[in-house]
Amino acid sequence: MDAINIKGLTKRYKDFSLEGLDLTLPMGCVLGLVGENGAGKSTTIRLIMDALSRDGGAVTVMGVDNRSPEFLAVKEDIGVVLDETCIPEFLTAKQFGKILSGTFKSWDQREYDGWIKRFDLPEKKKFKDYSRGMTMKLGIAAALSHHPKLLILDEATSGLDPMVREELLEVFADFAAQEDHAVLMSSHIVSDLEKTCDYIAFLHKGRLVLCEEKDALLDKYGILKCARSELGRVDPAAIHGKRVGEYNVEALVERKLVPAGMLVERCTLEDIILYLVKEEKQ
Amino acid sequence: MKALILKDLYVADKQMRLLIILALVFCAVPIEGSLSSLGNTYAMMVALMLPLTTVAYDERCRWDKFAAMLPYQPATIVWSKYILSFLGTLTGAVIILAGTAIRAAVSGAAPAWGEALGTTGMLLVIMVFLTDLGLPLGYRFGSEKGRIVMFVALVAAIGAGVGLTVALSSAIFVIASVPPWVLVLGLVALVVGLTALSVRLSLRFYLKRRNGEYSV
Repeated sequence: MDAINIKGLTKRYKDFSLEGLDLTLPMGCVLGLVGENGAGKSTTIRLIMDALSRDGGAVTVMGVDNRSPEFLAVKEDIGVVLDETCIPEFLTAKQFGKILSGTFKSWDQREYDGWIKRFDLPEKKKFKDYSRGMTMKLGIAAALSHHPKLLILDEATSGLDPMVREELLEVFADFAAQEDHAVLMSSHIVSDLEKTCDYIAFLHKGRLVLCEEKDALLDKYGILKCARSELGRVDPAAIHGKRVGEYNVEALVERKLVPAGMLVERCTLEDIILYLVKEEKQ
Repeated sequence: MKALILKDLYVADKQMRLLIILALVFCAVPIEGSLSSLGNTYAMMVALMLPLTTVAYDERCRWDKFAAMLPYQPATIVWSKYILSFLGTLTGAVIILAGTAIRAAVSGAAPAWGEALGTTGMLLVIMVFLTDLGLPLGYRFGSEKGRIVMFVALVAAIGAGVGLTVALSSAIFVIASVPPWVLVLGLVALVVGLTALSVRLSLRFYLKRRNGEYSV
């Protein structure tokens, strides 16, 4: 069963539209949704949770249409962490836990207390006095304390220092290690996604540019560095973006389509994204 | 729904405690003349402010964005504000009655329960009307603009009511001849009908707001 299955999802605003998005997150996997600010990542997440009405397409979450009445029960199995945690500033972690214990049937207070302790969060400090790191940790503690099967993270690591980011990425990796769990993680910090994800979906201006297995993606593409005159030997279909210097050129290429003998270096996910965006702009 | 009401009570806790104490003091202090109902009115105004205050806090921290991710029907979220308002109104009523008892205990006179109950009943009805008016406006225009629109609508409604009373002064005699239980039943039916309509409107505006059709 797929954790999330999206077909032709469309949402139109006056100044932005998400067009015909197709996306699948299999159970047991981590899907990274990457894209610059305003690419449509948060809109996609809100559409998945039926927090926004769509203009077209279909979304099923754990086999249930997200517009059906049964989706309310499915939400019990979803933990969501938003970029802004949206917790009222006068609340404490303890009070927030009490509110959520009355919200989720499967709320586990011991689990919540355990996370609060592990993250070293003060129970009685008001939320307005929390740092960004503490805020995100509280959101994650809340999202994990009702034993969700699907974790949806919207920019959960942005604005955090590298130590906290690393700590949280470990938590997500541990969660995703279980076969009946899945994670959808949106971020514009590509290195975080590269560390954690099995699949990468790249959104650009409301369109899905690519959605592939991360390792396959890293195997498929490479960076070709050569003299400008040499680039002519490469099939134009193999080139997905390039930086042209006075004498040399660096290009994102599909390894298989590059003639033998030309040296193609391994690229990072960030290279792929940056070259693809540049190519789109050109 | 209990959790949503609990959230609102936590959020408004500090301010409401202070306002409730002030209301109790106003109700307990004997005031003669034209300002005699000041305490009662203040207590009910406090009750009215409760849901609108929580709507303002929700807007500020974008709670609705988070609530939409939780296993709640939109109708449950909207209803929780009405229930909160009714709880606040009942608290206001209790403050008025407690003030009456305190005033009587201090002065040594018998409590004027009949007058207190009459005032409380009338204010309860007014507060339900105000809630029914205020919440849809809060969801439609946001808490700040909503409050302004509500007070403008209220002044207009009072003006229209006075105008209607003057215009139909002969009808007053007809109303006076109607048995009190019929009037009470009619009033209850009106309150229930208005609340049902108000909830429908609030839900519609809430969903549109959540969908980004209104600016925050």
